[in-house]
Amino acid sequence: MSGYRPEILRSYTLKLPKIIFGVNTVEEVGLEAIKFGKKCLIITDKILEEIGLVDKIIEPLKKENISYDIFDKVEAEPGPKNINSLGELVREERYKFVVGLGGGSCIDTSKAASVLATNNGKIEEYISDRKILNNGLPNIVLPTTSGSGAENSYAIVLRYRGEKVIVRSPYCTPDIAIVDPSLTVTMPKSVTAATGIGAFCDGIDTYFCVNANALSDTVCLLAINLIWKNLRQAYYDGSNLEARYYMSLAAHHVGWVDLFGGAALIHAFAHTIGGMWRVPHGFACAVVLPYILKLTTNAMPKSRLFKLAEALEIEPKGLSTNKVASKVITANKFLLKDVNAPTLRDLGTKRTDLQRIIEEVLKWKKYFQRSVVVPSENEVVEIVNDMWNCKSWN
Amino acid sequence: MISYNQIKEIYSWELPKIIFGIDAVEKVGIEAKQYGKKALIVTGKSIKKHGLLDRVTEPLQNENIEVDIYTSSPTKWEEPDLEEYNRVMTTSRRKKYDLVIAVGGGARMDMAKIAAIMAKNPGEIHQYLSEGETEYRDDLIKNPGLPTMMISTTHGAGAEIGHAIMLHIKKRTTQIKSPYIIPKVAVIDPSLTVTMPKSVTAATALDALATAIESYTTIHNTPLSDLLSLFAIKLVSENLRIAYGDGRNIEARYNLTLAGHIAGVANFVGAAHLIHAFSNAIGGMWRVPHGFACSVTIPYILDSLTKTTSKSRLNKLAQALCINTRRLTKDEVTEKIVQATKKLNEDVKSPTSLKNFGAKKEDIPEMVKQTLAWKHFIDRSPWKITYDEAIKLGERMLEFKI
Repeated sequence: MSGYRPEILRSYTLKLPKIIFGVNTVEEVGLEAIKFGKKCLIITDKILEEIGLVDKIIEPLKKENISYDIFDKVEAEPGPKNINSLGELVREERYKFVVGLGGGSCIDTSKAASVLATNNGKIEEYISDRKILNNGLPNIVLPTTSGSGAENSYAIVLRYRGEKVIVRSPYCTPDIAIVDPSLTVTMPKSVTAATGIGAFCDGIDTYFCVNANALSDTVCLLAINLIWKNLRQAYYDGSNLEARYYMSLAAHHVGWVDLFGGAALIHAFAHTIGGMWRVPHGFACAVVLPYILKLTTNAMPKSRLFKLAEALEIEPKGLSTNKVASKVITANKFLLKDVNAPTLRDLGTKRTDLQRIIEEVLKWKKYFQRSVVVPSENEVVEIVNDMWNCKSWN
Repeated sequence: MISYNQIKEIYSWELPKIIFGIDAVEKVGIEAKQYGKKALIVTGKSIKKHGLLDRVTEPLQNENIEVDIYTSSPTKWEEPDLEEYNRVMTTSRRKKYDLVIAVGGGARMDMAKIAAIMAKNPGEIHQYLSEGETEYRDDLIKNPGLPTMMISTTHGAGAEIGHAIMLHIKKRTTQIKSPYIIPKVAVIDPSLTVTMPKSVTAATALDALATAIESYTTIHNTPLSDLLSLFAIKLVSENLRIAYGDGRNIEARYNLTLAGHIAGVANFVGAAHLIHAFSNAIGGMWRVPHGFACSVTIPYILDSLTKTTSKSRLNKLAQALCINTRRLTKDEVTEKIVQATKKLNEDVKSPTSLKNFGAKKEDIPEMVKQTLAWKHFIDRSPWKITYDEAIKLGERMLEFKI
């Protein structure tokens, strides 16, 4: 928290949307939207429409006489075909702005719609070949899960040719993020668990990252602490608004410190596993979390480890570093168990898949370089074997 | 943890793009380019003198951005008066600029904000004042101003990201508020702060401390604002003496600059309360640097404010001020907090009594009247201060009795 030495006096750039946070802030969507115009497209999925969440934004839009269409065909892990057809729709209909309502997939799809409205071509061209040159349509996003952090970020995660790929541009950052914990109370248990663990792992990954700075440390530890204290409550009683509030708060804030370039080792594994088995991002993180901790906790400075322990309500005083590290790992396994997070085997993995995991993980070089501990190839093999040998989180 | 009731608290948070770090100033050209080709730079004489301006103009020239430079004439305490604001307004209306860039502390930034807003809104500055005698408005400015970029050269808190402009008119502090005032880009570069004179170092860092203390003690606090404010408090209490003693110590400068910026960010909950109500009155009446107007009140206000704070929250505040709270009672912790803030003021030769500003006993009622006029500030304080209590507090500030 204090006393940063010169060699780690780091620089950072941060661009956030305008953020409106709080219970029932969804009602403000009309007043914010009217600045952008009178005609919009709501981008969401069928389930959210069925459970009535879409109505919650339609009411305030109507109050301001804003006309709207609804695109409810967002896919979980959107692919180019779906996004490109949406891009065409937005161009043809000349919407003044878009509203993304939902989890990470809906929000990322609305970001894509926003930039495709003003930039020609197909989304896949922007993965690496082309640069997004024009500001997108104004974009208001409302997360209904607490975990993706997509409302803060300038990245769009796509599924393309069986892999997870990312489109990045400063123009993808939404203009307004309305983070309303009351939109999350209807989240099913498994989604609560997956998105909550996802946010938790984002916090841990950022804390263990070479780009970590004094600010990101502070926010990560807050988020880790809030998730540790509230995820179980939110999981077992979804209507517990207090737990939902803290989960939203934690996930949202960890989402913006992640912008400092936080994705490291956990994400190298999670993107690989998520690509191979199409599991939710949070669960893909979960299967590797304890083993990344095992690797990193032993190599990190004592004071940093102790702060992490304190965030997990472990009193490190009088304990050896090894003891604290092992307590941290056990605590994490408990959390995973309590919210029924899967192990690698639960995903349907076969022994023959392990070699491919190893190969794919090693391709995420950039993420490896960001970690404070860069594992050797042997250590990666060891982590994959550990994941395979874990039959349950007990 | 905050109570269940408080989760109904809503906050809205709109930040500029923030570029923080040593040599961040090198990026101003690339950032400015997005907004156009012609920029007005608003700065002060001391900035020119220390060569800081060249560090800004060079990256701008590299991107072929044409600049006009407005140098504010130094006033006694460097806080601009209405004439100064009018001059900068006339300058920005005279030509068509694409962007206004401030290089300096809070005062220069406020001038740049005026230049940007008034270029696109008609009439006189006083038409837009948020602080009427009774009401408070932030919807008077109807048009977005020119885009602004704030290049911070002090440790002061929050002007680089904030939506307010402070003005001193007829011995009163007042302000203009609007979401349109929020800058587009904030460049916060600790290497620009190393040439700051001792007194400015002290004043601006103490402003950061005051802002952070208020963000921690406001009734609108959130878990995030708590953490950010404690973080800023700790950085100031650990680094201010070092930077004061050796301005070239880049580590201390980095930490203080970060503290000032983060204190400003923590302020997003709308935190300014008692300290700023008093300091606005003090700043208006005696035209002293904002940071000193704040810091002189800190020990006195904390002495009473701590009564409304729980033991565990008070301990956290004390720990951030580098106080060991083990085995201390609540009163003892309060005493230590008061002494620590008083000692910090003394160590950096910041005024410890209103007498240092030339205040007299007969000025106190007017000061209190102005203080209590900041009603929406007072409302955010956990301590519902009465007129009599405020008079007593004012007299103690004068007599230097804590």
